[in-house]
Amino acid sequence: MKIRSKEDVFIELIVSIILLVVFIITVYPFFYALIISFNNGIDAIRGGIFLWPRDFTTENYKAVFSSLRLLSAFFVSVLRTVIGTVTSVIFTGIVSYSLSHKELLFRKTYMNLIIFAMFFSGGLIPTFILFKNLHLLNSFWVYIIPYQFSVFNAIIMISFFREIPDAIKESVRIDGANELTIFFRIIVPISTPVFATIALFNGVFHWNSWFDSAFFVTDNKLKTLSFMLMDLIKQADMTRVMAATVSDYQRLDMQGSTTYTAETIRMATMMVVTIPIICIYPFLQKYFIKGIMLGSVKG
Amino acid sequence: MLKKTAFMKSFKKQFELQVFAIIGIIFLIIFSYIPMAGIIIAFKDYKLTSGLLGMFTSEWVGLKYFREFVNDINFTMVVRNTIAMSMLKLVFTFPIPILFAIALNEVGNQKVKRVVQTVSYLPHFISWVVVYGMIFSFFNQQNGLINQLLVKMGLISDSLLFLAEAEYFLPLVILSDIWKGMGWWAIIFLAAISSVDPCLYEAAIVDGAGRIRRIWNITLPSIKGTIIIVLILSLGNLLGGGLGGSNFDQAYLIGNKANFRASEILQTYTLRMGLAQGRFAYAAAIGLLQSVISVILIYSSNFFARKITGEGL
Amino acid sequence: MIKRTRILSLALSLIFLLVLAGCGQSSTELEDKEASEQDEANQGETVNEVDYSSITWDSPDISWKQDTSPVTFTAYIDYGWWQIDTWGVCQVTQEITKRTGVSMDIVKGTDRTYLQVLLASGELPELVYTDYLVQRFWEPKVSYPWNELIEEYAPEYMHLIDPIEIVNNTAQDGNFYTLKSHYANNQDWKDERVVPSPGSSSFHIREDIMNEIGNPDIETIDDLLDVYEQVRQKYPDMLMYVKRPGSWDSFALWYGCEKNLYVDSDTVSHYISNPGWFEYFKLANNMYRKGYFTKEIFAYAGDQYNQVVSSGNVFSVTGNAPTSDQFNEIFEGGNTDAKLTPLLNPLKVNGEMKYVQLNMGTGWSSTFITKNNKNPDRAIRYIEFLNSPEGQKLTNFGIEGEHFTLNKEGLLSRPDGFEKLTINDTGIGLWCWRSSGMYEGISISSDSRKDMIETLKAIKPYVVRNPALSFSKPAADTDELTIMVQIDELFSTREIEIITASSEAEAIEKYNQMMEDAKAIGLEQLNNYMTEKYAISKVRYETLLD
Repeated sequence: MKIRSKEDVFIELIVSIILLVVFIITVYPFFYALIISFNNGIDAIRGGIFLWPRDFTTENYKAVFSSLRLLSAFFVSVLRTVIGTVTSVIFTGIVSYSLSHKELLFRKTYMNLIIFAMFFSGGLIPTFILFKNLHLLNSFWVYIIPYQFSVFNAIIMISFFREIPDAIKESVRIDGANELTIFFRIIVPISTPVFATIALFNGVFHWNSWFDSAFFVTDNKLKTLSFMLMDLIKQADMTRVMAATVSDYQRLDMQGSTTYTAETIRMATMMVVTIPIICIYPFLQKYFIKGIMLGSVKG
Repeated sequence: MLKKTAFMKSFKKQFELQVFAIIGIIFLIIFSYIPMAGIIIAFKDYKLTSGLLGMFTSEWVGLKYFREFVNDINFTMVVRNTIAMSMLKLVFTFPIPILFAIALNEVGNQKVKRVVQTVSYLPHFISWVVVYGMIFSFFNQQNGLINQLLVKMGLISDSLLFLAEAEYFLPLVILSDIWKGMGWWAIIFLAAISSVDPCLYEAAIVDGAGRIRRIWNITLPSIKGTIIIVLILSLGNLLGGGLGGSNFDQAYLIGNKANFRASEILQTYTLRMGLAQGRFAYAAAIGLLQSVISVILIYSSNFFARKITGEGL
Repeated sequence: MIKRTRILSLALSLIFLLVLAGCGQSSTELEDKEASEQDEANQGETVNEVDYSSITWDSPDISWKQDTSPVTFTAYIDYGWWQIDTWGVCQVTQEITKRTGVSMDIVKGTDRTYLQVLLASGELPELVYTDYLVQRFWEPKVSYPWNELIEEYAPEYMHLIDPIEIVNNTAQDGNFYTLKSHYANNQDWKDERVVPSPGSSSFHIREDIMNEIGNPDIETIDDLLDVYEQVRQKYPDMLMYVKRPGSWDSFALWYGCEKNLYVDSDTVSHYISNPGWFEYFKLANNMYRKGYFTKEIFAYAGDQYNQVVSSGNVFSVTGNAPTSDQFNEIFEGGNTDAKLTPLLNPLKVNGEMKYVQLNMGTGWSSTFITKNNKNPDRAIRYIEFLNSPEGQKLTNFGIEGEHFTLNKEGLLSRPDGFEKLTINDTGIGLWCWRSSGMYEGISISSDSRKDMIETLKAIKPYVVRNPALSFSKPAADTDELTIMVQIDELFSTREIEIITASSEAEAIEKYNQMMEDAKAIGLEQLNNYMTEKYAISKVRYETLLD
């Protein structure tokens, strides 16, 4: 049995306090959004709802689900998240693997090109014209192809791969394995934490993207969930503001209602879009712990 | 001649790796460098109706848009606000995820660790629009929870104008940024920590090293590389608001006409002056300015990081 | 190293040229095609002189009725709040297709820069409906001039349009590329059913509290301030006054200060030049220092303003015309004991009525038939249909008999069960892209919100109409527009600092500073520009209308 020193107790106390504070300040606002999303909107305006819905209703969710082509958008979002993440992590991973070799010729030039690409952008118009000429406009692939190589992720990956001792690679190279084999057989298994991290970053990025859906896709069947919900949030805001300036039979059903407001719709919307992606995390979490192999090889 | 053959030899040896790298670069050329030709409009009297070729054929105006920006009466204020917001974020928002990741690593109970970690990254998914909705509910003067609590506790006698006074803008921005990004960016550092060889800890325990010494001598050094990379990347995007790039969203939503003395920053101001009028050329000029600053920052920080720690991009 | 970069840059420019050449080619191809199509159209035309002046809207050989075969246009609607983005789902669009053969493939803009990107990349849909930076579309390269299309495909239409509308929309090159919707001409304006825009600023006050304090008369601003003092005795925690973001402050309006152009005989200036602001600021600063409102009201966006007013803790509001109706509905729904009512008569300042509403309106939204349109003939005829009484009734009111009948006051009677229908079912009031002020007026005046209609009727006598002014505003891509935007920005932030100054002396100092800064930005240049433009457009209106 280990004996706990004073220092251990002290550290554990500090850590527990930190965790408790973090737990409260991160869970509570989320919980707050949840209860507001189940509360009558007009009632919520009065404020003072902090622990439980005062006037419970599911109307907000009904409004969200009724005014969207939710199912097809959900499908598009899942598809782009899965395909986009898998392909991009592999592609970025292979390129990063190559660039992590210190002896690679032109390495400096490549790195400079990568860093420049991160900060200079030609802006919307040239991008739009480029996508038009590549026939990416209004195509599902506009969600996938332009994001294949993520510079930010590449830099993180390169820094991780650099730590891998050359000895491991060399031992396999001598056996005549090609680089792709080394990448998939050696690099991927010993770098699971970084792959899990990058996959998570990438997946969440794809799940939350709405801008590309707004600018490069006009077909309603190809719109993503995040776009739909962003649009709904904007509309809820706008119609409240506009409500007025148009005649009353011109109002959305949303507005004619006295049970929900832009605020409650926003909260419900956020829940709908967030909960699916949050559920993924626990599945990824085990990979963060599995990466220990790297250390054991190193030792 | 000899040199060339040596070169060819080593190139051949790493042929496969070169192919991977070149494919990556070609990708960047198509999707980043070709559109970059559009930057040219920052120096042109470009009209939207003149189409794509107009970008190249329209008249040169030199530094007209830069001059317009520098001579703007709000120039000093906007630059000062942008720098203040960015620097404070770097100082406060950057280290917190590292500390949090280390704290999480010290938790013995795996269940607690998992729950807290999962929970801590929830705020990342709340869009800034919704975050501002909550900030309003909690901080407003009329019936905000924070004001009510402070008054009840007797700390203040009258409600504070958190949302309208310029002096509260930066604290709100920093706190909400920490809150939103802490758990999320800790993930990178946790990934780095989990790559640390557990034998090192065991050996240290045998040597009689305490918790603090283990953190200091093992955990920190082994994630040093990651910290430096992330720091360099944050510095590169300093003006955008660090890793999260949240400057625009925050200034746009938490900022308003009443607290503009603190909240008006480069991105919001030039949006109003440029894109809102469909002035793409002006927007391109300011964007270019930011890019140049970013590149200078990232190269110089990388240079110093290498000098000081031997690590870098 | 140098060599390597050179090769790289060479390769880069090569690739770029290739991509570029690709687009260049496709765009010239398109032009060729257009040109040949136009030739064909010209050849097909037989020369026959007809007297179009005898043709009326009801004439059976009116152009839009000649071809009702199915045709589909791609259309861009530049309004994020547009509730319907699929054609043929709501009843009105189904009916339009039935009568004209026209349907649309709709793209709804979610961001205002999107249309600009489409414009720059030559990817505009066939029809564009927008009110944003419209001068960019007044270009023969971008859109078809309506006058040319009308002459070619619907010659009688020209005789059915009110000439003043043409003047309202005539571009520098003498063409008109659109006729803006929802314009009320002088004849319409005389009709009592036609009222100012429901978005007009108006003042609303708590009826329940007014009853409690015995409904004192409010004729002047001083009367109102007395009422504030009395209410504050009773409800010390209540906010006396809140302003809706985006609406013009009622107090400023009572001082004769609009955030519109400032016209002094023949000089047109930015509103900042209106000397009335000085006195208004002194009043507002005084009100602020007395605690009638807090600085926070300037921090509200639309949503927060709604929350604060809905809480029932506000005594008076500057909102728009439907504000009372809107919040009373919320108060009822939330069982809040409160009721708002509009204060119909504008208040006097020191015994003098300064209130004025300048209307320089030439209409609201523009429809453009872009050069990408493959059937410009059908497009202009569709416009003609929308302009006809038949089209106006359908798009503004719905299907006659099913959605409405006109009663003897000339207002709409809705059938039983109509209130259960939503806009998504009916589509009423969305597709009226050529609505006249008359038809819009009828539908507003038939609205169920009575406070709103009363408010608008009360504003109407104070409205001064002057469409020639709309041409004095700087056009897109001019330096003057930049100056104007900068001065707007200056005013919108400094006004808050002036109003919330801690003393009157400080407020005055800040006001003077603002005026100095405005001069430094280029106020004079802007004012000269606008005055000049106004003089030109005034002459044009006079000569063209004589």
